[in-house]
Amino acid sequence: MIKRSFLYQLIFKRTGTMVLTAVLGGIILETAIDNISEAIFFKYNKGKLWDDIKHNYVKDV
Amino acid sequence: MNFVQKTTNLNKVLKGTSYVSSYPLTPSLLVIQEKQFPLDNAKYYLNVNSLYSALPSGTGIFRAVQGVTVKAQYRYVHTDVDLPSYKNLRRTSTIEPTIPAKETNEKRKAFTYLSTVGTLMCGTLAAKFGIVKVVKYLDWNQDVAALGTSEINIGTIPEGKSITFKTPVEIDAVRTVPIESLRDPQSDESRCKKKEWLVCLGVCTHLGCVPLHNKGENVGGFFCPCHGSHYDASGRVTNGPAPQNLEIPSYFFKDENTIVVG
Repeated sequence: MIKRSFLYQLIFKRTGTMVLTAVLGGIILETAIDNISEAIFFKYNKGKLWDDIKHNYVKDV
Repeated sequence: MNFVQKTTNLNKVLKGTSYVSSYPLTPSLLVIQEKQFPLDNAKYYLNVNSLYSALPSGTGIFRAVQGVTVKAQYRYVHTDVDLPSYKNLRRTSTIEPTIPAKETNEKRKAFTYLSTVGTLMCGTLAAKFGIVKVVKYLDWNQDVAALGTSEINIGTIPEGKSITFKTPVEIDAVRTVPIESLRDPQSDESRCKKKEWLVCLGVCTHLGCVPLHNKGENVGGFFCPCHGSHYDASGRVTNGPAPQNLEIPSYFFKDENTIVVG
């Protein structure tokens, strides 16, 4: 667990660092959401995706 | 004394600690700090003095004021009621009243700011998606963009014949000309990815006619028959009304013999 005083002194005290954190955090959040949702999709649809059934239709793979 | 003449002033002083009344009181009982002082009912307390005289002397906390300008009010001492405590509603860092607020900043504000940053993050994401959506809406369709590129096999074009193929003499000419002397200063290096090949739109920048190759004042250059603009072998304007050099489309060499334009 990150200490509150650490967060406050380094990030929240100055508006600049706070906004920077928000923007960088947004980028990280987007990547995380993309990867996680994709992983869930692939797990849920396992066996139904093109990569899984490709060998039935394409001979020379 | 001013105090006596203007009783409103006196009233202000006394408010905090005293009973103040404009009426002659006939209280049967005075309650002061849990002690009860019974007064004689038979006696009338018509003014301040008479009331005051009935009070137990030396306590110094009970007064009655009489006058026209004194507001009529009764105040009662609620010493039996405890002040409510809101400790269970306070943050643990602010319960202790002697600690300055400055020192509890971190504990009080960190979580609030954390939630603000979280909201900002999601807001940034939402704004980004919105902008991307608008930009994609204004952009080419994928199918149109796919049709926009064309491949040209330059291996089949004979040297000197094509309007896009420069001979060594022409290359020398366009590379040695001082850039400052041109109307639209651009170097040949910045216009041509391979020095032998000029890829440009055959549209005059003046009014959009089609310039003719190997005509005009420049060797291997272009000449626009409409209003007499001259371009050199690099497509740069050297004379005439045209304001800019011939436009270079985006292109790249796929391999030695193939250009992809678009």
